Amino acid sequence: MLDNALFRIRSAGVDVWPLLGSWQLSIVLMVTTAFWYVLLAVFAFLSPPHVVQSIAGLAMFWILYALLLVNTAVCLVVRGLKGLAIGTLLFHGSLFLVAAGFVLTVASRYEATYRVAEGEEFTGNEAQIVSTSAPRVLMTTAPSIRFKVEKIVPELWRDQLLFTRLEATLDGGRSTRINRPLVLGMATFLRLSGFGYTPRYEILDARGNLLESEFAKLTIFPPGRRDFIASANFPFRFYVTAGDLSATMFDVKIYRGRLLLAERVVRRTEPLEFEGLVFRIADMRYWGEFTLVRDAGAPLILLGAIIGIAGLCLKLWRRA
Amino acid sequence: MPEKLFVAVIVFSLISGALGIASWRRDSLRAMARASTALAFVLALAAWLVRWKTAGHLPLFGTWESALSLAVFILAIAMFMRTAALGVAPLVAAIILVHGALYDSTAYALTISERSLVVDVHSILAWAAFALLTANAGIAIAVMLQRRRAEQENAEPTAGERSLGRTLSIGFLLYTSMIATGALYKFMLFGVAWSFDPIETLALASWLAYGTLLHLHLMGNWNGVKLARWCAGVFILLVLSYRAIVFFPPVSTYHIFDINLRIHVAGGVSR
Repeated sequence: MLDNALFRIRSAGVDVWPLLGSWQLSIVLMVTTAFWYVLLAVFAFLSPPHVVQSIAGLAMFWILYALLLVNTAVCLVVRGLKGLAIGTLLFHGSLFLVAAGFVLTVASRYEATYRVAEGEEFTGNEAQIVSTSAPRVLMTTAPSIRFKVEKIVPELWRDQLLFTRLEATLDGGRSTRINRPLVLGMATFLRLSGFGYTPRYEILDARGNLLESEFAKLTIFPPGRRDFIASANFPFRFYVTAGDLSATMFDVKIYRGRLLLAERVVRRTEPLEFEGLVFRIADMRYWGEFTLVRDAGAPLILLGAIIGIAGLCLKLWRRA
Repeated sequence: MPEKLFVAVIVFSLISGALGIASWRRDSLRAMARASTALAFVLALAAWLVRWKTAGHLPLFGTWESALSLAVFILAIAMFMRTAALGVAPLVAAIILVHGALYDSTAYALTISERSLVVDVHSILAWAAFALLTANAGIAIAVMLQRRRAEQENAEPTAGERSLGRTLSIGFLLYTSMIATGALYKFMLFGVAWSFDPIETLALASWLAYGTLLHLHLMGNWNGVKLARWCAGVFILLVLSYRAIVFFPPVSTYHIFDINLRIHVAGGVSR
C-alpha cells in the first residue's frame, strides 16, 4: 500500500513540471490576475487608498505572483534556455528582477519626513523630524545624513494656488525639487515634498526693548490655515493665519489661556499691541518638507524594466 | 488658431474615414483615402505643435488637449495602414476629436508635479500605445467584417489579419514602456514605484490581458477572426483603464488630468 502511494506521488511529481511550465497555465494565471486587478479597481472606487493597498497585499495576490514566477521559470527551463530567443529570455528574466525589487522594497523600504527651514542645518534633531516609517524586516538603521538648506524658491501661477516651481538649494551646490530627488547614496533619495512659512516673531516691551525673538515653522500655507506660536518665556499663544499667498498679511489673534487679548490683520513688521507688550512678525523665511527614502528595491525594479523593454525591442526587431 | 485647425482635422478625419471604408469595396478610392488621411495628420500635427507652443507644455492637460494628442498619434498610424482598416482609424480619431471639442480649449499651466521630461516621455508612449492598440482594434473590426464577406468568396488570410499580430506586439511594447515610465515618475514624485492607484491597477489588468493575447497568438496559434474578436474585446478594457479613471474619487488617484470631463461626470455630487 505504501509502495503504491509512493509510486503515485512520484508519478504525480514527474507530471507536475510540464503542467507548471505550460503556456496554458500562464494563460490561466494571467487571466486570473487581470480579473483580480479589475476587482481591485472596483475596491479603489469604493474604498480609501490604504484599504486598497491592504487588499492588494492579501495572500492570494502573493500566491498568484509566486505561481506566475514559478510558471515562467519552469517554462524557461523546460523549453531550454539555449533554445530560446535572447529577447524572450531577457523579457521573461526581467520579471524576476522586478519581482525581487518589489520584495526588497516591501522588506526594507525606509521613509522619513523632515522639516528644515532656510539657513537651517538638518542634524537629525527630534524637532526636525515629522515622521519615520515603521521598522521593516530587513531595515537596519536609519540612514545618517546631514544637509543645510540654503534657499527655497516657490513660484505660483498667476497668484493662484498652483506651483510652477518649488526648488530647494542645499549646501554643496546640490538641489532638489518635488519630482527630482537628490541621490544621497546607494538607493537613498531626498526630495523636497512640501513647503511652508517660517516667520521670525518678536515680542517687545512698551519701550521697544526686545524680549523674545524666534523663528517658528508654521503650517499656515495655503492661506486660510491657522497655526500658533507658543511663546517660550510668556504665557501667550499667537494664532496666525496668512492672508495671501506671499504671506505679507496675517490675521493674528493673541490669547492668554482662553482669554482673547488682541485680534487684528497686520502686515509684516507691523506692531500689534497687547497687555503692554508688542507682537510683530519681523522676518519671513520658508521651510521645506524633505522626504528621505531608502529603497534598495527601486534600482532593481528600474533595471528589470530596462532589461524587459530591451528584450521586447530585441524580439520585435528579430521578427521584423 | 489651434481651435480652427482642430475643426479642420475633424472634417478631414471624417472624409478619410468615409473614403477608407468606401475603399473596402472600391480599390480605386484607396489612394484618395490615403492622401486624405495624410492631410488630416498634417493638420492635426500643426494644431498639436501650435498648441504645444502656446500652452508652453505638451498638450496633455484636459479633454480637449488629450483628444488632440491622441488623434495625432492615431492619424500617424493610420497613414501607415496598408489594409482595408484604413478607414476605421481616421473615424475613431474623428469621434475622439468631436468628443474633445465639447470641452473647454483654454490652455492651463501645469503644476510642478506635472512638469518633467519623464512625464512627457510617458505621455508620448501612452498616446503611441493607445493609438497603436486603437489601430489594432480597428483592424480587428475590419477583419471580422471582411472575413464575413471573404467566407462567402475565398478564405485567404487578409492583410489585416497579418497586421493584427504585429500591431499587438508593438502596442504591447509601447504599453509596457508607458507603465515603466509611469512607475519611474511615481517613484520620483512620491518615493514609491507602485501604490495600486486605480490607473496602475487597470493598466496592469490591460497589460496582462494583452500579454495573454500575445501568448495565445504566438503559442496557441490564435489568428484571424478568433484573435480579432479578443483584440476588440480587450480594447474595451484598455479604453476603460484610461477613460474610466475620471469616475474614481479624486482621493484614490493622482491621474485625473481631464478636469472638465471629471466635472461633467461627477456633477455636483461629492463622495
